Amino acid sequence: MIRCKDVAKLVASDQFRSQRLMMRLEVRFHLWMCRYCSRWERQIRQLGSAARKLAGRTSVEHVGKPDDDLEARLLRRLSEKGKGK
Amino acid sequence: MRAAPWGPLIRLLQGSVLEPAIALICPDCRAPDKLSSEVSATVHFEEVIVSQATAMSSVSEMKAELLIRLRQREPEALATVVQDHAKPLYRAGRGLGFREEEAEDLVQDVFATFLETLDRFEGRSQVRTWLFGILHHKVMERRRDQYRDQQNDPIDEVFESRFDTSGNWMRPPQDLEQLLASQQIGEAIKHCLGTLPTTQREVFVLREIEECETGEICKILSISITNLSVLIHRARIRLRECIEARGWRKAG
Repeated sequence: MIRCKDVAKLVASDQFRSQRLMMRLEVRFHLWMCRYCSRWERQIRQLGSAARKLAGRTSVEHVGKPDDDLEARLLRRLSEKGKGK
Repeated sequence: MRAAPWGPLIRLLQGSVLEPAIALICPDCRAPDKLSSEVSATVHFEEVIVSQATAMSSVSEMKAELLIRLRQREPEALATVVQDHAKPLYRAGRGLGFREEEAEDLVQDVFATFLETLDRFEGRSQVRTWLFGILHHKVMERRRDQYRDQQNDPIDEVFESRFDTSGNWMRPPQDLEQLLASQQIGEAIKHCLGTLPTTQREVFVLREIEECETGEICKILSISITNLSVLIHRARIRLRECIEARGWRKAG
């Protein structure tokens, strides 16, 4: 029978989805039965979504307003660099 | 192990029963997740060490016409590439801990190198993969003196210490629901991302923020799929431990 440690590792290393069907079933069943592994799995997912939210906010806050300025600045600098050669 | 109430039962019905049932009835009708691509990535990249950036050429995506225009240094072609990729690269730079001006300089450097190496780019891999590969090299150049990823990362021991010799939880994960749902989580993630070694942080940013597939991350960072599994595992464990420590302090 699969152990909590194996489940925690499979979940955090992204290897769960590449397992065979029977193994995935076993992991799912374990996650259903075990409150700590299910908490662990949920937290790992939440870390990802919280990081995505943070990155979304970061790009709005720091890219500059209007947002398209970044691309314009980069193109200007690249063309200046090209002329300098 | 203790059984939890109804929430997990509903999840089981959604995930554990339906997904395998669909897979059994119709193997091609799998749930719309990353499963199929990850499995195929596993098959294709298992144990393969993808060497340098020049080896990034297995998927045909780049339009030949755009490539020709880029080689002719057409400003509109460059503008298209910058328009499509500047923000994701900048976001990754910020996610890797570079300040605003540093991140912008980094992205500018990436595009400059992209232009310089255009003749080596055969157009067989995606432009995004090529650009992120350059970003990776630039980041490693700038972080040369930093902690290098080790074979034996101390975080592995922290993970091991959570379990007894039978593999059962000895130090189970704390309940972080309140912290994870609160506004403070952004600040906590920002702080804790800073504690990650560069490559682990890159893997986390590419996987979770840019939502890159396994195969693409392996190409960008020139690592095997086994190595990627180790790195993402360490990144998440380290991040989770850091968040848990902060949550604990706040609760106390």
